[in-house]
Amino acid sequence: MKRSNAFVLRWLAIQLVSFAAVMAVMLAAVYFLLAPGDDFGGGMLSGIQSALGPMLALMLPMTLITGLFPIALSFGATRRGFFAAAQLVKLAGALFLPAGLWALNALGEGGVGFRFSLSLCTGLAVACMGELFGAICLRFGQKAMWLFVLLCAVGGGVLGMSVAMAANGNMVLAHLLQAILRGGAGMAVAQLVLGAVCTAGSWALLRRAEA
Amino acid sequence: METKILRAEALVKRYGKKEVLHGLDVAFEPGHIYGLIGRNGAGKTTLLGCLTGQLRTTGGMVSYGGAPVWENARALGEICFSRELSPMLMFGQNTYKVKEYLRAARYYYPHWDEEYARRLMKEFGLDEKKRICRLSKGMLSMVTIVLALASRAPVTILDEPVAGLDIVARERFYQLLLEDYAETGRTFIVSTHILDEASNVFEQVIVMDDGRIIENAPTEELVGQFHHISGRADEVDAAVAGCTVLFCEQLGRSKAVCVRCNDEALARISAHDVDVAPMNLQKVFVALTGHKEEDSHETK
Repeated sequence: MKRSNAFVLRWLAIQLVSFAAVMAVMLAAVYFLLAPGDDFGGGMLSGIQSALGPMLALMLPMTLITGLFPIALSFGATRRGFFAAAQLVKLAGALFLPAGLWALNALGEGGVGFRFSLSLCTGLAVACMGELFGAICLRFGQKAMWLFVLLCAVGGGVLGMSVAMAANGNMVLAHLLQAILRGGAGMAVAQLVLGAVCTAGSWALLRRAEA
Repeated sequence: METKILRAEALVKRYGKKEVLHGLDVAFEPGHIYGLIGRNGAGKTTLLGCLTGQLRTTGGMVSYGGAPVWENARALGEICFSRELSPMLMFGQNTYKVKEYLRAARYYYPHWDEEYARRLMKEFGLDEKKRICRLSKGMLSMVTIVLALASRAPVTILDEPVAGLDIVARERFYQLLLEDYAETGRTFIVSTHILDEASNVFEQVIVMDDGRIIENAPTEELVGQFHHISGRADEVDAAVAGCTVLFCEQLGRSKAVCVRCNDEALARISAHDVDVAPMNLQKVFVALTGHKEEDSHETK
């Protein structure tokens, strides 16, 4: 288990540094290209920052499972050990969502109030879903990958629609998103249960994985 | 070094409804070089995958030092299974660099010899900054050889290590293998199709055919049992009466057969007016696996 931890943590550190660098470049580009106080620019910044958190939470465990797990397995890693290390990756990915939202508020680009603990639960749920997608892709191959792409497209469309509807005064979807991030204990528990179910599903697939 | 046996007992492996390993029993004693040979689809890679915990077994058991191998970190840390690297991963090209594989090996093989790995990289002319997808087939084989040899794992398994290597590189690989073996005395299990050169290296050879082990014997002992008998058809038939004939070829009145017999029978055969020639491992392998059952019979 220790060997997998060290191997995975090193990979995680590289991913996070790379992601942070890309994010910084992207935000800087948007920030400096647009006029100060520009509503459109501010909205774009908010959108990018809001999307990057869940995206990282989703993609980090997924790429860990599909990219690194087969290699680790070929080197004699145990599935149990690697899966344990993957939980650390999920936690790191999940933290980016509340961290991103906190940064938004700190920069004054907020408008979406949030609770750190609840948004962490959201991040964890998303990370668990990413891990499960990774395990499904590993098991079922490229067909599962295309399904994931389709789901991302639908999810992105829903988010985009939420923004468009909010701009037109229809706050239904925006309120739903806020409920997810600001809802009470019930919402947190629901997200944690979703995360636990996804994690159980991931383990059920990974414990039988073959190199 | 503590002596631990890598053992498979009544090993069964199925992919869906197709059974590819049929109740295998095999034990790899420490401190030997084993050759695992078989035709394509015989089940060699599947057997090796089961021995190293990378494939789930459907039945039977695989153990190392008496403990199950499956999900056993301690056992797996002592077994290195080096197989051909793929230039493709699930979602595209394998863009990992050679150095990243070497780094992974450092994490997972407790006995990893970094200095030896660097020496081998230099000898093979490998650039550690090159991406796996950019390597030729020969270079991919070289990387697997570096990983296997530098792992210094007590049990090191190489699956088709010389695929894509030219003859000079193959010779060098076998030299390195023997040098490593002389230095460390660790167990090597080498699966290969190229038998001419490998037969000089294998102490023990295991022949697989259709998911079963059909021979498991010291190489010299196995090869010594097979002989090529040729001459006039009636003389050959008389000479090999009572022996197990694996295949025969007849051209007009000339006949050539491959027989399996002991020294006593060989002396009897030699008394006839026939040519008796030894066979090498490759020819023995072809005789055992390359002909259908109706060609093989015991003469009366």
